[in-house]
Amino acid sequence: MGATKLSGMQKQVLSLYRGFLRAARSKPTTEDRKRIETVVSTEFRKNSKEVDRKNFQYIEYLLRLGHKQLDQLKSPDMVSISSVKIN
Amino acid sequence: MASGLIGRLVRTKPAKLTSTARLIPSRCTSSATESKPSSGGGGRGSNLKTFQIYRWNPDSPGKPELQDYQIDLKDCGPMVLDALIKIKNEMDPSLTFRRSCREGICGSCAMNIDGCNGLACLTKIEGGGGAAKETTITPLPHMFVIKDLVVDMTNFYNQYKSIEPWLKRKSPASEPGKEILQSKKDRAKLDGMYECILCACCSTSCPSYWWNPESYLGPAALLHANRWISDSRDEYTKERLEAIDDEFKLYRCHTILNCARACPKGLNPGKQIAHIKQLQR
Repeated sequence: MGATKLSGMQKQVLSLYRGFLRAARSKPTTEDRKRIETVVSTEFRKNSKEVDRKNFQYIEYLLRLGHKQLDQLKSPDMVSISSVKIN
Repeated sequence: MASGLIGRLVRTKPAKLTSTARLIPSRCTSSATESKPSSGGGGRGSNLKTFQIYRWNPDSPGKPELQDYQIDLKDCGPMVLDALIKIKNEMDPSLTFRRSCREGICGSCAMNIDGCNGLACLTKIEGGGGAAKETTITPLPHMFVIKDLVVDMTNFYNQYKSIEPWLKRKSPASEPGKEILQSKKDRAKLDGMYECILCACCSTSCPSYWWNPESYLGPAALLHANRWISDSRDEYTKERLEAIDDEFKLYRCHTILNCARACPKGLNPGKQIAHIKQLQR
């Protein structure tokens, strides 16, 4: 990866990503785990390409949204997470 | 679009309406059959007012902006919420704001109007006269914005939850299954605290809360803490006082008293906080 130091915001994004993957590991079936991992990784990679690095307001908004979704996902009743695009 | 079609229909109506017929269109404000707010002076001496409203859409990320809307005050109800609903119905359906009761009891429509926090359904539009021809509407200050005028209230609600706003007793009630009795004098001690609607106007007007939103509980939560501390039926008074006896939770209050000024229900959270501080000694 990069040898350059990560900014505070980048560290927050990475820790959120790690949190999602850890939550995925706690789910019962491997299918659920894979589904969560694919959804989360596609979402993070898409945002990393599309969102401007300096758009702090939008990145913080996404981080807050992500933390709320992660808190919901951690509860044992939740099985998977998905995203739908409405135009 | 559809509004253009309806606009054409309106123009085919007779220009002069009798007084009774005039009343009916103004009552069904949800439909767009009213005459459109005239752009650039209308007939019948319209009273135009500009509203500058904070807009930010998370889906099309950019910087937040103040967008101008012109409203004819003759076609609009007296309160700011009426103007917002009129704008959303007729001019810009993408304007997002919270609202529910339209009578100042739910606390959903709390926002910053012309620099002062208040409920949109209780704040009259400052109309007519030369003075301020522009009203600026922004979301509650120093709160994270979700979209346009909608703010993230989770921290505020969590702080309210943290003071445990329910009756706690150690001994069982004297008559099990019946109400715990309270004298009129004891009930009068709760006046000025139970009316709080958790609109967050006071907490978001407190500069101390701006600088420490996560550690300082804020006037609203402390008002409710005092409500439960002063309740004669509650037996955990000492524990409640100890729970908030903290450098940050309580003593960030420096009696700035912006909270009493901002409260749309006329309550005085600063006074209740002073009461708690007095009990702490």
